[in-house]
Amino acid sequence: MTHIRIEGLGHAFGAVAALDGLNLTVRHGEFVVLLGPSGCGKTTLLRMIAGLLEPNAGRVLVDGHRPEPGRDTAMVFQNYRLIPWKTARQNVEFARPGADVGRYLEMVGLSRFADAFPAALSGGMRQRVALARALAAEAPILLMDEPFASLDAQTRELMQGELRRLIAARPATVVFVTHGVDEALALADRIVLMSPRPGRIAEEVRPGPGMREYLWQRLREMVLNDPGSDFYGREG
Amino acid sequence: MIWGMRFGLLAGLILLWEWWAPGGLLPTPGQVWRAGVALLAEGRLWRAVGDSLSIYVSGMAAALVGIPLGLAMGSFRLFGRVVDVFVFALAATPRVAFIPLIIVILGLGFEAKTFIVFLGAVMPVVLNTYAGVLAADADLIEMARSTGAGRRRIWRHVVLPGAMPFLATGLRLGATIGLINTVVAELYTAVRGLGGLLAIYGNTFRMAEYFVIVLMLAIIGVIVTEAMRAVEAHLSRWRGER
Repeated sequence: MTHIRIEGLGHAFGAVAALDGLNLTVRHGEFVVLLGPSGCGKTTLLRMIAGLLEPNAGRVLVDGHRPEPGRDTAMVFQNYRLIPWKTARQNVEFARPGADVGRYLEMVGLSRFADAFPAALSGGMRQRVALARALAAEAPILLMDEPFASLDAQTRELMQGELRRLIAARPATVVFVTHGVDEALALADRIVLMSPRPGRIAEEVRPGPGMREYLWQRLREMVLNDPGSDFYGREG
Repeated sequence: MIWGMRFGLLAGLILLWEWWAPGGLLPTPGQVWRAGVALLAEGRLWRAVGDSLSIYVSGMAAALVGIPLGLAMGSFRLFGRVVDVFVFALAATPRVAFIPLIIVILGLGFEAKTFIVFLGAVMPVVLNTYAGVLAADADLIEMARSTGAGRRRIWRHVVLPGAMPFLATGLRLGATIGLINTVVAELYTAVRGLGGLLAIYGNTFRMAEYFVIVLMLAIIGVIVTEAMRAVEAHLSRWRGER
């Protein structure tokens, strides 16, 4: 059953087209990964699904209506976006006042650090607080914008495992943005490959044998053929 | 540790002063100490400190109106954009230029002095509070919106606490300028308080007594600045050790 429906979505920032004619559907409980090089509009698309950005064209529907932030969707950002003057407990509670904060901090293994300010936590711990905050919202859709991008490889792998465990315990529809092929293959039910400038859906694939090499090749082609990319013209 | 080093530096400076001071017009530390003891015994110094502090505290209390004004300017953008140019103009004009006008309107007494202190102290409070609200973190505001928070909740939990370190800096700067303006007010209007003693002893070349007043002003300045620093540190304690 369709949970998120995106129809003819288009958006431009001034003269720069970010998305153009994008269509996508996501089913209830599906884990969809948006994969693509920098500048392909992944974050813009996620902000529109979250209801944080109004599209210039097309629409996003969640269960047939416009998404309502906090009620339909909860978001995890790349740079944590924890409120620095609030403790871990207060940050989680901010998502839903009156929530059983202890339970969510326990889910991410941070019960002992409930009263710590973000400045005292490591990158991985901060991201776990951000994850607990998103879970505390109890929204049916979890939107994750490169949440593990700023973590070291080891912590990233741990966090991916943690996320899989949490989603298994508390099912949700997940739209996860990354530009990492391995991360996409580790997490996704379905991978939506996006091409840059303007952002469009190039292809949809499912994780499987041989897919790693294939996706690397496709991303490489996109980067090399993108006039806006720093890599343009390096070959040849 | 830091206070020990500060007292060490102070002792070194006093020794240097003792060694270098020729006596006569420039008094030695010993002469200043004796003058200070005499002024305290007469009760003259305490009366002057009391007079100056009452003006200073009244002016600073009035300057707190800068907090709601700065918050309003930052929170209601149209209001802020209309008003800020006038505040900048007022802040850039030397406050001494207003003193004749203040004397004409408010006279030479307590009200005029308090207003001169207020005029100096309120500007950094308004401007820093205004800047603090404008500097609100757009990423945090978007995060708050993503949780479904409305304008009022975002203002209370994100914008206002984020502006607090700016506000504290404004208060600290305002407190320093307010102290300077207290002396200026006492020099330009009815000669009273520490500023008044400064004028009397300066004009009669009683330099030992003059230095006592200067040192008393410096001590009040240090106490006020350290207190405001403590407030600033408390409001920014979430930043952790730096």
